[in-house]
Amino acid sequence: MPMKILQRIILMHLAVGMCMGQGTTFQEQAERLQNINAFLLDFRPNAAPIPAERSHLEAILDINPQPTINTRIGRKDEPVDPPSVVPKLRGRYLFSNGLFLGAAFAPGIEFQDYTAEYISAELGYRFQLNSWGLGLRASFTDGDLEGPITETDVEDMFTFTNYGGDLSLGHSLGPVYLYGFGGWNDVDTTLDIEEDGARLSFTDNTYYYGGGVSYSHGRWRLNLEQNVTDDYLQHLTLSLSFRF
Amino acid sequence: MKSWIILILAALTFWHCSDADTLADEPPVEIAITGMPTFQNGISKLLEVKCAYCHALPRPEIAPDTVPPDLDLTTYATRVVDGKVIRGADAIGRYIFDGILVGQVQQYLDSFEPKTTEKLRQMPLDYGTQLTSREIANLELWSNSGSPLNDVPQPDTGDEARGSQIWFQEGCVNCHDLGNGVQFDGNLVGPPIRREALTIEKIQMMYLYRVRPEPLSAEDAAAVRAFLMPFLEDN
Repeated sequence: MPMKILQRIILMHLAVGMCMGQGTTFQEQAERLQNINAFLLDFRPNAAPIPAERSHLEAILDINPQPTINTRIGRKDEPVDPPSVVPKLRGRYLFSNGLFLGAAFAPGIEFQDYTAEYISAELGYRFQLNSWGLGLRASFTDGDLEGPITETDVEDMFTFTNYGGDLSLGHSLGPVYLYGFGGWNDVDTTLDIEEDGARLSFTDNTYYYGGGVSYSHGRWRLNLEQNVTDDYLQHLTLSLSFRF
Repeated sequence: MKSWIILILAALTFWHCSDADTLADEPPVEIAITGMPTFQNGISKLLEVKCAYCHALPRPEIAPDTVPPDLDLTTYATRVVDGKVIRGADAIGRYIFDGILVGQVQQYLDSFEPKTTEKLRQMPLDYGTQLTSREIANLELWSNSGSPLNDVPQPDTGDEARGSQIWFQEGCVNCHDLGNGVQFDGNLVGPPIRREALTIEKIQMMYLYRVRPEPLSAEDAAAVRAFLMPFLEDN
């Protein structure tokens, strides 16, 4: 019986309670990683709020240098190894009244052992007052990535849906245009793991903001944009656009 | 020229601002327990955060297909649901004692039929929220004291004759002998019973799980405990 007596003595003399210390859970790590991948795969950098003088189509090539991502979850490293630079192509139609409509569609990009599909749309309005420009935008992106995300030689499926709205403000300095933006976003992500049938689904509401600089030369425009999502992701988008 | 300078300055400002914080370097969250660990004092919260996101009913989406279908660590007591016995947190003390938190453990045969010798995997799985050394120590302490619900003392008395009758008639003796366990063909059919871990709740759990899916009264469980205690060595 000595153990029992000892237990009772401890119980009598120690306060009874518990608390959760600092640290993280694997769900938080998985959600964070899925959110980061969803934003990096998103097709909707903002761009300077420059209205069109006449209606025209704009073709844009985005290049995203990818940040280094630590993929450890719990005691396991996911072997996902995305390319260091992701190119994306999209189009935007700008009406002379300030409205614009944009879209991007990728029917099945194959890289390394992955296949990715995306569809993205945006609807917005821009207007200019002297050298200042203001833009409002709603956007939506839906996509999936299939491949060896959690193990080599498996076909995991990662799906995501992003939708949100943002406001941008810019200032023209001749051919250079400086701008900033901020917005709110909902992101739904799901990772289906082939090996054991587990499904990791998360919904997150978060903010994003950033700034950029645009340089115009005739119909060409070069745009460098810094995107910040909440406190966990900063990434760049370099865009080259042509207005037809 | 001025435009290019602004452009280059802006580019230089942005260029190194590329970073993704996945929380991968963060240590696992720790559930601290003050006082003796019982299910109601800390273990419930610990299991909720570290185990029950997979071991729950119905099977959570996040759980792998291989998760045992009859283990629900969101509750303490083993119970019968739709005619099936669903084990609660009162059923995991033995696995902790055997070392499932630090490595693989052998399954018990539970019967004299040949069964798989596949070992149970270490918990939590690599993909899960890991346990800290203090949490493992608390779970082991909880297991060694019979994985109790709370700090209410176990009854010291019981009808030993009634306990003996249940022990032999219900077949407890087949797997546990008189507390020493039974081996068959080199494998343990039933483990030796630990004196400090023999609680009313544990006896009730084993009756539901291994004898028949009907509750054993606390009085009968106390009788079994009183009958068996003299046979068990101090540990």
